[in-house]
Amino acid sequence: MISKMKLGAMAAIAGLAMTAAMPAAAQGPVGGAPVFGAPKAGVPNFNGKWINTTPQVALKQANGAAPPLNAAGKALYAKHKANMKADPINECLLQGEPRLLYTKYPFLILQYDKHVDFVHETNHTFLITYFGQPLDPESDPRWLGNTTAKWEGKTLVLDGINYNNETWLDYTGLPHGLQLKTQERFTLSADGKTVNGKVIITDPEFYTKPWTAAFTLKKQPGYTLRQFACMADHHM
Amino acid sequence: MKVEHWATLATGACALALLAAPLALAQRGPQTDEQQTAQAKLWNAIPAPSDPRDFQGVWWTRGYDRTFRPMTNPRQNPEEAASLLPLTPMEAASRQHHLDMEKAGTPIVDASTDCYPHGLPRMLASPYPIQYDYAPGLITVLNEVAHNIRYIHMDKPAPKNEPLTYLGYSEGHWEGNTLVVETDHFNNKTQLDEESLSHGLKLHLHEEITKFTNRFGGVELRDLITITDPDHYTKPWTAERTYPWRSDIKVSEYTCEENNRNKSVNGVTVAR
Repeated sequence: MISKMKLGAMAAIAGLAMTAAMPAAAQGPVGGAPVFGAPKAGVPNFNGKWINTTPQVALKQANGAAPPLNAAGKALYAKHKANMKADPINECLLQGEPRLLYTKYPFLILQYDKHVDFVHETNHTFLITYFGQPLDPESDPRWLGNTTAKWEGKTLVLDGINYNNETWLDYTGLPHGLQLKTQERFTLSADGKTVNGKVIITDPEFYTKPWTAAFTLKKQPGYTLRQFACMADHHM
Repeated sequence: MKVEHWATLATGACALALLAAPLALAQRGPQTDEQQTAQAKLWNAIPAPSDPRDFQGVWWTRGYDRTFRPMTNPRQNPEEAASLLPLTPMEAASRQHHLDMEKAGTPIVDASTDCYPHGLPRMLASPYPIQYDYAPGLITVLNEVAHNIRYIHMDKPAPKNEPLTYLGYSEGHWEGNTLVVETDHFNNKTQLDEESLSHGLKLHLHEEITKFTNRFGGVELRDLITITDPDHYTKPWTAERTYPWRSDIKVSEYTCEENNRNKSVNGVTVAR
């Protein structure tokens, strides 16, 4: 309960002017919390907890074929495989994209008109992406790149550039360089419980052509998101 | 090099203590009423949500006060405020040890120094932007600093056998337009504040978070934080933090683990 003493202290603070009373138009409590800014009618609603039901240790093309590495890609892949201790996630560094989508850990998608946020349990990593924000080729390379979101019909599309070249694409050391571009595509099933996704990977430094990997997400409404402290036995 | 905002400069470094002074200077900001009003207008260019229970968006505390002190009205000077801390003898000795070690140039490391989650209420003092997001039954607070994520569970108490964690388990509910959050299930690996205060496994936080409009037209969140830990404090005490609405800011990427120059060696840190 809020004590009267504290309410008095709050009111005593100079210049305090409470905002207007709650308008009746608010959507009211949902599970104990008001929810604002739900997607407009006709816009697919990805809000919720999700898990990749087909996590991949070794990323494959959607047709099951191995990724089309070029000679430089094969050489760097072999180098990584020979030193798996160098996997950046061993140092709790961010996994990067699209690897974050292929972990076994659940994540939240929080969707608003202006931005869509992926909030991952693994290594408490989040990616905030704004709709319509132009990609910035001049931005510094980052672990999670420079991203923008858009709708293509009912499909949510995230484009990313300017990733640093510290991350691996998968748990086996699949490489990428600074030229990596990703396009992640999320399509919601009619019942809203499944996402059929794919990611298009373009990196002419290490691959002979753009290639596509697939993923399937299932909604996990009952799951309680856990804290994940990477440097302390994970769930702590 | 393009810098989206001030905090991005610090990306990759965990040297909060070293950054405190320039951050405070940079954010001290305008002093006159006219300047404050102009600043509020800039920060509110995209207005904060009008509904008093809708906190969604980006907020950023002013400056950096690395201490928590009992809230008073009027505000006390730092020495007097510190004297109001209701320390148990054990905590008084612990606090003095922290101060002495820092004075010697070998500050005791806390969890965030090694890129673990900052803990609470320590994280609430962080001089980096935060973003509130709402989902059914859940409020998330995305913290730029060290990509900390706080979950405030609105629909369920702590599960049985909930582990002890850096950020504890937060359960929220609304009392009028105030978000009331109760947090416990903390581990004892974090400090209460950056400077010198500690806590133990009995730590319980009671927070009352309210949105208000200040006299310059700016919108802020006020968090009244009541700290209870009988092993360390002789009675509960309440500290305060405020967070202006910042529509001109986006929460950015921050990777503590990359080139962490403050990483601990034998329990102390010397910035390298």
